[in-house]
Amino acid sequence: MIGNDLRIFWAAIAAYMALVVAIGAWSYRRASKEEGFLVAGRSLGPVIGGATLMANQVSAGATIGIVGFHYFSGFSYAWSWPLTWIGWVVCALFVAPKIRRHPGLTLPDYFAARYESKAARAVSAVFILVAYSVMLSAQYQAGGLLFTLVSGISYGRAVLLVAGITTAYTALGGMYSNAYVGLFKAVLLLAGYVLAVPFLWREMGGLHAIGVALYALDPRLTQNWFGWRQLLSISMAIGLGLAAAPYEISAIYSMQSRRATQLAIGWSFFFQAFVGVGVLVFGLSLRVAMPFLPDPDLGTPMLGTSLLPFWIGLLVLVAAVVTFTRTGGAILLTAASAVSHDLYGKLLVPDASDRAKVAAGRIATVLFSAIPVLLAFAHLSLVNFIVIYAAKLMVSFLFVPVVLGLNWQGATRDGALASMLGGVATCVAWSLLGHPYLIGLDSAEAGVLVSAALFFAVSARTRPVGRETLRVFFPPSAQRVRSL
Amino acid sequence: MVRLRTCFLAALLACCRAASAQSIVFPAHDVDIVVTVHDAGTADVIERYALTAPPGDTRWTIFASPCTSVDPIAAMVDDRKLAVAVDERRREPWTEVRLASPPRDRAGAGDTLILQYRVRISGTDATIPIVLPAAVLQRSEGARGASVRVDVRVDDEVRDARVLMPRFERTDSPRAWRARFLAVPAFVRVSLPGGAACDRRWSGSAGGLEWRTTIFAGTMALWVPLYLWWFGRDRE
Repeated sequence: MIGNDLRIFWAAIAAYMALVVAIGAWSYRRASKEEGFLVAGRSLGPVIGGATLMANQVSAGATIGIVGFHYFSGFSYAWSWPLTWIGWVVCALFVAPKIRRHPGLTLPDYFAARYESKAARAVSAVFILVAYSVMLSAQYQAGGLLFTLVSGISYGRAVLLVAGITTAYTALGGMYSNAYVGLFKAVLLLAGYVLAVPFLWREMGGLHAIGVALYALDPRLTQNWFGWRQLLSISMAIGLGLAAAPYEISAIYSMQSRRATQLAIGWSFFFQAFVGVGVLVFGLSLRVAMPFLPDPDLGTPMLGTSLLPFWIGLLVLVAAVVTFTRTGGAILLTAASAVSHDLYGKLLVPDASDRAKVAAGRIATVLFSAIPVLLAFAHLSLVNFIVIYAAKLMVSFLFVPVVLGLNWQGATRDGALASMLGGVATCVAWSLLGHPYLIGLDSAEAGVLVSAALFFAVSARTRPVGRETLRVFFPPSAQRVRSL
Repeated sequence: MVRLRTCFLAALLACCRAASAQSIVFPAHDVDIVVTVHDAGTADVIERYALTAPPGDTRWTIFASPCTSVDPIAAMVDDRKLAVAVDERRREPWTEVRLASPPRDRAGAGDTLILQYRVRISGTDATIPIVLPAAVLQRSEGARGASVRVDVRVDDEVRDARVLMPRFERTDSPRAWRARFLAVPAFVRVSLPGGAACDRRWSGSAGGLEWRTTIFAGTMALWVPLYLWWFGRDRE
């Protein structure tokens, strides 16, 4: 973009920043206590909660990365949306109702309470920091590419700008800010995609014309570039990872009730459906209109600057900016809470005041933001590949001790620790071996299987968790479950 | 901790190996394209590629939509004509063209490869194909892609014309538009209100894209209300 168009783009970004600062300032007072900062005072209803869950999930991996995936691989990756939703149903049935019984603020809180273990809290907090560094770097990388292409500033400066925006509003407003910016993001995505998709549909001559052009280019683009085996392993890693993802657990802790959480998951599907169709049409149309882009991740910025009419393109670009800064904010908040709440507040200085913990959270937000900046400078791979790999690490580490731990009373502290460490070590080792399906298993599947085997085997041979502790998660009667 | 992170990054790179597979690169990063639309249902296109190395035998692609046909293409480097061969195994709507390799001592860095052709268009929304190398262009220094400048000009006799897609800026002249891209677009769509009617329907197989998309969108459209109904029955 140049001239007046570029000025309007910067004005739109400035307006977004002003809105974020206003929401942050308004939230600042509500977030003066730790429960306000980390879980919005447990006040979110189904619609805002749904927007929050969607806003966490639909990251740069979707608005930049999946557009790039559709660009280079065609239609088949679209199936990852409904397949990923299976993970959300697992969450609605087996995670959300049970974890809501515990008045925790973070996922490590759950580990400490369920397994009576400071070690489980510490290990999970450190893991969150490592895995979320990778995840956050994908957001910064996507933002860097977008700002570079749109405005012409250098990639390094663009990454710093994205990190600055993300850090500023997260440090100011915490979860309140994230929730309301999440709603704004949902509205913006809906508006941008609802306008852009019909335009592309008409100008490209409809779905049949796009299909004819893609099929002639490479038949796999309209059929199965990714086979069912690959799609299942990617979607299960993302979906089941979401069922136990630390930022989604924090969002679940932020909801008013169990029912609000379950309905919020439904509302998040509503928002995701628009995004899923939108990114599909974007990627496919762009492949026909510009078949030889230098980098598939440039798809969304190219659409916004070169293909769509100015105002629709601007909406799509600003929605993408909101997407990666907002998801970056959720990641940052979760990582900061692992430092301030779990490592500082619970392990290092257990008698720290609420005010000190909130201050530690804000400082941790700023400090933690720096590590992914360095990873983003390294430009590791396509944005969505980074997101998928971070998801594989998370599902290997978290799925078994969270989901099975909430549903099986026999799980013990040692079983959980063995399962977490064994799962993630297997996933990393499997990836390092370099064979995508060694003995028929993807790295995430191998990680989850080893994690589950260790979970049951070690739990069967070690001291069980006390009955009082179990009563929180496994109340004696269904009646009591409902009253909670 | 540092070792652990190094390990994760190594694994990440191993996982992403498929993504880093580089496409073939065409040795040019500065491209000028001029499209001139005439009254008689024709458009002339001239493409200039500033070469940074000898291009060798190259494959080119043409996106020929219904209501459009491309006359024979003239190609030259340094005033020397190159043989242009249309690949008979073409897959509609893409037509593949091969340019013979210019002699190595006659084409290299600093030379300009020029393509010139006439497009015959009909219909009120004309799709003018741009012949593009079937390869990624080199990146300009410090940029994320090449520098492709496209100018669209319309003769005085053509009334109320405007460029529909990609996005162009109107220049000082009301009959000229300009845009800059990172890659060569496959076509320029121009609205020509006075053009003759033409059936834009595409023939050929869409490879099942339509029914797949319908099932995909239908699954999502059903899933949302079903989920909300199912979990909405349960009162707290």
